[in-house]
Amino acid sequence: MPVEFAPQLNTVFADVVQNLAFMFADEVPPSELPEQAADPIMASVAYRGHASGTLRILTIGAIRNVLAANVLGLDESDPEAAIKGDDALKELANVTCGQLLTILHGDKPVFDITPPTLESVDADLWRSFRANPEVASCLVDGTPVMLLLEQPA
Amino acid sequence: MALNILIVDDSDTVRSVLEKTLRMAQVPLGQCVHARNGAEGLEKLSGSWVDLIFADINMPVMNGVEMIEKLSADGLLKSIPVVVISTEGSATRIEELKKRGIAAFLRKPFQPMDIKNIIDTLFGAAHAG
Repeated sequence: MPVEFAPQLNTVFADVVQNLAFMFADEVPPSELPEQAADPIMASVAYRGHASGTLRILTIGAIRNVLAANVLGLDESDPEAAIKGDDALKELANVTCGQLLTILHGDKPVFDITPPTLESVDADLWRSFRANPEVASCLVDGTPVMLLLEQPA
Repeated sequence: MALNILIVDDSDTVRSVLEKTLRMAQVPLGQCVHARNGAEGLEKLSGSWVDLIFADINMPVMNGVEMIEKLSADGLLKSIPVVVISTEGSATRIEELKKRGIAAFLRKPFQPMDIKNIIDTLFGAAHAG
């Protein structure tokens, strides 16, 4: 993703987080995020059509419980919160991808967006994202989030 | 009069948020039935009558378009209004959906007022709360 699209990615994500999860995203450079993260997880949404690519959202597992509390009204300590929070994070990625495609490509092109996936990732991926100039990053109520739009060359 | 509503979306989050939003919009809800995909939605309809269907498009097993096609082919079910709720932003695709007879389209993320306006349009102000 060209570096100049990173601000748009942050703007779209911030809007979605606010409207869907009633949380605020503050843009920060990746260098201000922790060098290491406990329990890093990544949501991914692929799309194809007029253009193809994958939106990746890398964050830490603790955000699950916070999302479940904000989006679904669950108590953060509820045993179901992490599971429900997984789904909420995937939906966040899904909606962000849909909104971003309209911003980048307009409302005429047709895209097929695949169901979002969520996986645990390792410290190396966290570090590589943090060092990637194409990554957009923010703090969502203090939780670090990095976003990357991968497009084939 | 209370409305029985079917919500079809593969995301637990969306189904929960939509039901909560319907209640926040003070829509008089009777039964609120949930389904995780189009096939499950059709299965639920075989056992319960609903007044309105909210349906996502991108779902596993059976997507929203396939479900809408099957509803349109059923003499009884085709009368149930379908509101598509999707991340879809393509005007081309939205137009295609409207040609398939959907009652309305709502883009995610939605607000309580969006839901209220749709209910108002489809069922009149008395139902919109």
